[in-house]
Amino acid sequence: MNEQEMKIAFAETAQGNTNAFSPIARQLRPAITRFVLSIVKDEEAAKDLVQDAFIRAIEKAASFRGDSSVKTWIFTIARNFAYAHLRRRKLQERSVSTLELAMGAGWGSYSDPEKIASLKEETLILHDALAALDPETREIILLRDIESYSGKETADIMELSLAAMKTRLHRSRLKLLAELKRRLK
Amino acid sequence: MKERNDGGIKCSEIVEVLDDYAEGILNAETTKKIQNHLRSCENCANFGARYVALLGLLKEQGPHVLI
Repeated sequence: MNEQEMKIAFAETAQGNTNAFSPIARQLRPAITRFVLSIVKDEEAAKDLVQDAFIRAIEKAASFRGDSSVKTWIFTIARNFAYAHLRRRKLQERSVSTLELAMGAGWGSYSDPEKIASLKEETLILHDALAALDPETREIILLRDIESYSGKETADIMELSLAAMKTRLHRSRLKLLAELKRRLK
Repeated sequence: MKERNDGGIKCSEIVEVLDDYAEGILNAETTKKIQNHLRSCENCANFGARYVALLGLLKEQGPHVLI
């Protein structure tokens, strides 16, 4: 189902044909579930939240104006649900310079790029390093680096400007490198 | 760890623009400065290689790395 077909099906949904939403849900469910799971770290909760997000999307279909893709719009709903679920106070990010973050990630100490490349055989280390990140840090890496969404799509889903998304992405990658460094010692 | 200023650009500035450098979207002048810096600064060269390797690994592994 391409974006145009998705928009047509979603327009039918908005007119009350809820069955038209089924193929959209079928197509988006795996990626949205992975995305929500990366935030809430609870499989059952993630499934429920995705279902809730789909229900909300059907309810609000008439308010979809087509400014973004249907996929981005539904991702944004799911993201909002995920953060509401977390019910945690937003962690105040420490004011750390990028170079300080980079030092934590191995700048200035001996670092062998081959070690990173060799992780192909040891995905558990990468998995653990990703799991150790806070949800917002993991989320942006998932969208941009793992799911390969464009910079614009990632910024839209995270409700950030492109510039803010890029800054956060860079800092998030440095944090992931720091986690890997810790595990590769 | 002492910061260097090789090639007319500091280590901290290199770290800041790594993403744009990796994507090849910097102008020719800045790209040249970075290349000169990386030739003489082992810290930045090692770190840049590590950074790029991570991006390649994430892309290659795909979503199953989270499961």
